[in-house]
Amino acid sequence: MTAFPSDANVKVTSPFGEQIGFKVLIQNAGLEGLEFRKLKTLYPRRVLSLSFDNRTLTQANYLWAFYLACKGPFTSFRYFYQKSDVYVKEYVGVGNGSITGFNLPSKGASSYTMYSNDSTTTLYTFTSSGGTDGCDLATFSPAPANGAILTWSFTGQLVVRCRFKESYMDFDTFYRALVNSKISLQGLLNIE
Amino acid sequence: MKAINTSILEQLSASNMIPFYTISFTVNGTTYYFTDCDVPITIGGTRYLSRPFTLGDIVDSSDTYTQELDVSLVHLDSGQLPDTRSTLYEAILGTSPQGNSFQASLVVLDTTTYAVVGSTFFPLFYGTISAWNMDETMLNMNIQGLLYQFTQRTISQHPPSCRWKIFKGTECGYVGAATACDRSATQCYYTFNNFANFGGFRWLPTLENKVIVWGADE
Repeated sequence: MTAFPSDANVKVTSPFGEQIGFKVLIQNAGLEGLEFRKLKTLYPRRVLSLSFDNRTLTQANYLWAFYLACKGPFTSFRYFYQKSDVYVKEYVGVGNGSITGFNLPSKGASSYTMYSNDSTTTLYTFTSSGGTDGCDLATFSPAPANGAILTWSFTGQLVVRCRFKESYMDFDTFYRALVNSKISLQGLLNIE
Repeated sequence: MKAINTSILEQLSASNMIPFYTISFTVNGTTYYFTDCDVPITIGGTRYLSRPFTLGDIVDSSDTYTQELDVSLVHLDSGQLPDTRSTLYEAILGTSPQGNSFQASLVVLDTTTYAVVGSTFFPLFYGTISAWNMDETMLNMNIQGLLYQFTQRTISQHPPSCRWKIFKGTECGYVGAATACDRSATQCYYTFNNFANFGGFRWLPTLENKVIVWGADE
């Protein structure tokens, strides 16, 4: 995996658009207003809309090269939020009894708490920016049990695994999106 | 009447619930476990991998022999931990999945902790894989209920071609270099020198050793 370019060439206008979606089946049973709701995804998916001010053709080419390198939506990458904030119980992954290292959905986290099956755990070592692409890393000892759902509350930069949402773009469309509208990224779960 | 775990019943009667389906099926000795939840679920030590699938209507009637279920399973190995990546291809394409066992179940998660309620699932359908087809994205299977087997009639007790499903499998026993077999006695005898394990019948056994006397009753 790789990270979304973060140098001056691709400085994203802040704040950027962020949609957070849950899949919920809602059944309305009759006139009494009785309603049943089924949650069909445990963790939210984000859709990020990035806008860029005054990009030159050269700068647009820089990001276009990244789009091509990712083969559009084929390859996922990590997007690092620029602004630090407070995040609660972001999905980390599910233990299988042997994996010990987990890339966290954060960078430079502080005031953090790790949860295993919704209970606080301290059986890990935290390494700031020690994970893949510079995200934070948690190294467990022993490995989380098979099926243990790990979540992470922290203050810091959120890291979202993403892919480009569009599968077909020409450079003109891409440049227009950079300058006039937005580039959309489809957020995925933290661990593939 | 099926007994439903009381904890599951309690969750199902609430207005807010987190239900998911699980499926498991065995092909070529390996059992595959999947859930339509977006993260893997572990029940009784068994890990159900997250993989989108849809269950069709469970068809049942007063004629219990007509129980059936259609399942469509995304076989693109995306959104997975790398536990069984690509092995589903091998399982389906490399063998004959027909006749293998299948189970679909309901599991309910606690709305706060996401723990599996009752630490168990509720079985919805047992059956065997009857037919399947696959395109670039989906594996579609038709599952027949277990009682369906009562309607089956044996129409070929003694086929002339070999009836072993798997070439070089346990019954076949061939260990040579060949990679394919046309199931004929000729090839088994002359080419593979494996006629001792041939799974077909040259003659009907009831007639094979019968003494035939020409021209008179015995």
